[in-house]
Amino acid sequence: MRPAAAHHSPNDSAFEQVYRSSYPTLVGQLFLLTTNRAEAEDVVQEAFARLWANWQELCTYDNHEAWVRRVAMNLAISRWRKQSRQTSYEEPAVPPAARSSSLSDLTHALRDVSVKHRQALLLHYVVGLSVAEVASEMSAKPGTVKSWLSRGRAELERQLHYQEAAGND
Amino acid sequence: MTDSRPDPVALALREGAAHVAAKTTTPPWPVVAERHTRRNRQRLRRISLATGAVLATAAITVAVAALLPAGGHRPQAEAHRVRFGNHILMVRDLLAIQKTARPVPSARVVTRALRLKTPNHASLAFGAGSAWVLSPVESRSGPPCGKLIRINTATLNLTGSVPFRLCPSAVTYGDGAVWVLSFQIGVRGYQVARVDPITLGVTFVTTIDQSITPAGDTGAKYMFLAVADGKVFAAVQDRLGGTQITALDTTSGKPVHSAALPSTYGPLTALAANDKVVWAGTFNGWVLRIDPLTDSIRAARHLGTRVASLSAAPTGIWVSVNLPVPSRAAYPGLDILRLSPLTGSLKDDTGLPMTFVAASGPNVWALSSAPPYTSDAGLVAQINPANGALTQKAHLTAPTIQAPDTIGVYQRTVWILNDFLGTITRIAP
Repeated sequence: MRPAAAHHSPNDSAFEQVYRSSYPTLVGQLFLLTTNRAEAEDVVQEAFARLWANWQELCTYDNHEAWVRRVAMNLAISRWRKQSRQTSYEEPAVPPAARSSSLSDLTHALRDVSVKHRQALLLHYVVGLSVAEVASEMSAKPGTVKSWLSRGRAELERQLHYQEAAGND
Repeated sequence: MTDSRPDPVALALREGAAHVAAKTTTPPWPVVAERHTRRNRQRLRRISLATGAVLATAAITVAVAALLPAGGHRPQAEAHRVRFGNHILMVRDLLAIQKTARPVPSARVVTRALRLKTPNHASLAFGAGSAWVLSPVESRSGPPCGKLIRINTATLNLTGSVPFRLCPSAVTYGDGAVWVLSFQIGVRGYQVARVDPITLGVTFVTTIDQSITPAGDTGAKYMFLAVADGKVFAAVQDRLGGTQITALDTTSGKPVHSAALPSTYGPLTALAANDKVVWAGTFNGWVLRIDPLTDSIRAARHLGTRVASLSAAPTGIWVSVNLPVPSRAAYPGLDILRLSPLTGSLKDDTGLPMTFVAASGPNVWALSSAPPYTSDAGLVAQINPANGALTQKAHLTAPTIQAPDTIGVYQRTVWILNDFLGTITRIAP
């Protein structure tokens, strides 16, 4: 167990550097998965806390951001599963006036896309991983990932167009 | 020609993520470290709470087991709860319990017909490599009334006998000698004889309790002998239905002291000794701890309506008792209990509805007998002293009313007398 650092060491500075450079990006990415900013911040912080706890072992990793993203995604999915087991949660209907911003449209459009499809879309279109890399990250076959991407994209496109049409009415 | 327009879905996603990232303020990194510390603290608290809960559960389980009356009961499918005084005892289904006991190979069960006609279950003792049995002499022309028989424990052969003018009624072995208590209806007093186990010579005879004149059949039933602390204790029924216990010095044969037990306990039905303490079971269901120095009662425990048998061993004082059960109950009012060899307090309720129990060292055996104790008559079973389970068994077939009724344990063998059939059986598991 690693105590909360009272003193900065070069090692700690390296962690701080990873943390500062990756935190906002990761929150933005996780937002696309959770569709909730507070939830996204929470899982990213938790993932960084775990990185810090294992920093002695993980400091030599090439891509800490990828490690944190993976942990944060797993946390988000795990929490989502737990929530969906405990309650049947329905998103509150948002009046069209409240959907003025494009972020809000995207948020609501994403909520109609399944979590798996959301994760695949995020990794491929935002993080920039290839289909093979996404397949590896999600422990799936490339063909399956292609299918998820195709369906997720279609769902998202349909939702965004629907909202655009609804906004123009 | 390729479509140079940007992918609207990818664009929307990237813009959304970038928008949120731009609006996100990165908290100072020690916040993350604190979060880690807090999480560890919570985890430790959860572990300590879980450990505490487990320990509390274990403590409660142990406490409940310890506080249960009669020392707790082992799980059992068929058991009948019987309340007696402050004790709640369980009578288990003997037919079900014995199914798990291993049968003793028939080759190890040897029965010899010796025409034994023993008057009661104080007629069997062991010592000096022999089994000692009392038997009346079927003679109408006067003395002798009975005899002491010596049986080789290895061969079951009769190797000698000692005739007694009076009727021998109890035998025991201790301090290197065989002790025989005898009486004659209408003859004043009782006689305690010391018999040399090798020569079979009677070393001395002491007459005790000359104020008592045995009368009727009841005089023959409640006589017992036990050796402890350099004394032989002779228990006989007095005129008022109580018990007179006389201690004789085993060397000189002279009476050392004598005491009368209150008649409220009823006549003695069993007597045993372990080193320095004499234990008695009574007709009214009491187990008495008697100080051999003074013959005074040091502890009295009421465990049933009648003590059927009692045996003292290092593993405990083993007692079979009758219990009050409804007249139409489908189970017998019988139970075998283990008492503390130090205090006589109830340590274990085996729930075994068997009539007689005998113990020697770690070996404890029980015998089911004939009515009024009906419960699989003829079953002989070994009891595991640690948990009261039956480990080995043998069935000595006999007509129900002629079931064997005397049991003794010598080293690793168990001996059964059937005074109806006149047989002695050795089981050497």
